[in-house]
Amino acid sequence: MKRKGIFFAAIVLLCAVLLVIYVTNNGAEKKRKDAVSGLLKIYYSADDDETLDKVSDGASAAGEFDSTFEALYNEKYIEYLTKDAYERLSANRTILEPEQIVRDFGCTLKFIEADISKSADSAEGHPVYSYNARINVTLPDNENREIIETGTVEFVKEENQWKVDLLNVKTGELYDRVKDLAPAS
Amino acid sequence: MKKIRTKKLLSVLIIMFVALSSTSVFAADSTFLNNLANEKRTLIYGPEEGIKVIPYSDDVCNGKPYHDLVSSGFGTAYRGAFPSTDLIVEGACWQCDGCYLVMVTEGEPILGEDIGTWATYPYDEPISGYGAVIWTNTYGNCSSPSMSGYHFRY
Repeated sequence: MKRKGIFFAAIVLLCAVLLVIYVTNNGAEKKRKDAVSGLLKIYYSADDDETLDKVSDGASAAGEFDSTFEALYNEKYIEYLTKDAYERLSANRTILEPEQIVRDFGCTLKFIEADISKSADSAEGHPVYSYNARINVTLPDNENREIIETGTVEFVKEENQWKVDLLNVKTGELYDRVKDLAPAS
Repeated sequence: MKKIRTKKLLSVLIIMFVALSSTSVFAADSTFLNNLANEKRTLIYGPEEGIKVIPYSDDVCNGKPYHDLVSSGFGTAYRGAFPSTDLIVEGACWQCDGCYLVMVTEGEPILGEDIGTWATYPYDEPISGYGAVIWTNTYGNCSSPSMSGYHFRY
């Protein structure tokens, strides 16, 4: 009888541990998906070319160039992106591609929603997610068109918070797709 | 014993003849080497491969025939010296991985766009990944996505 009781208690304890693990993982999973969604909402939404203007202004007053990018990071991306990821996106100019679209084609972009799913872990064991983002493009004649952009993100834990350390988007793809919808003005 | 000596002497004579004759082929035919240089080819000799004719390459940057330009954010180039505001070009910024040369191009050559107006300045240290502003008198225009001596990459 006593042995049965110990066995039952062990099973209950095991179930409790599994439940805690499941809840913790699910919580982390939700946090990461929310972070992807938040990042994509900021990145794929653009209705002005204010930062590009600031970059030009900063160039004419040398020294204020870098501060424009630092300000953009602190204002919009610090919650979701690591500094390294942001610098890589800035170096290949991907970070301002949506603004370049606004400037060159007179369109505006608005993120609608994204299907986000965990695809794998990276070689370093970092969680990787893939996404299909639905974006609304408002053309200069106010016509609305929808495009879907795909990509992947890789997470790292920074100061106890999940942040995107790699946003994999194909540079120039979004620009080309909008270009096909709206010939240069 | 005499036979062996004769054989040795004959071998030495043959080797000397071959060496002298092959040298004289190249020495006598200087136009051969000139032609190679004109055709941007060069002659190399390796103990295993023997004599080979390979494409000739200029040493542009640290042993490479091109500047290895890495995408480095946004760039603006002004004509002359600081604080000139005479704009040459505003666009993509690149920095050479080998010698820190900075280039600003109007187009995005990696995406197949023409380079367009370009300007360069010989920096001596790495710039920030956000880009750079340069003042220079070295600039030009290129209506192609590629330019001899420059290689672009992200």
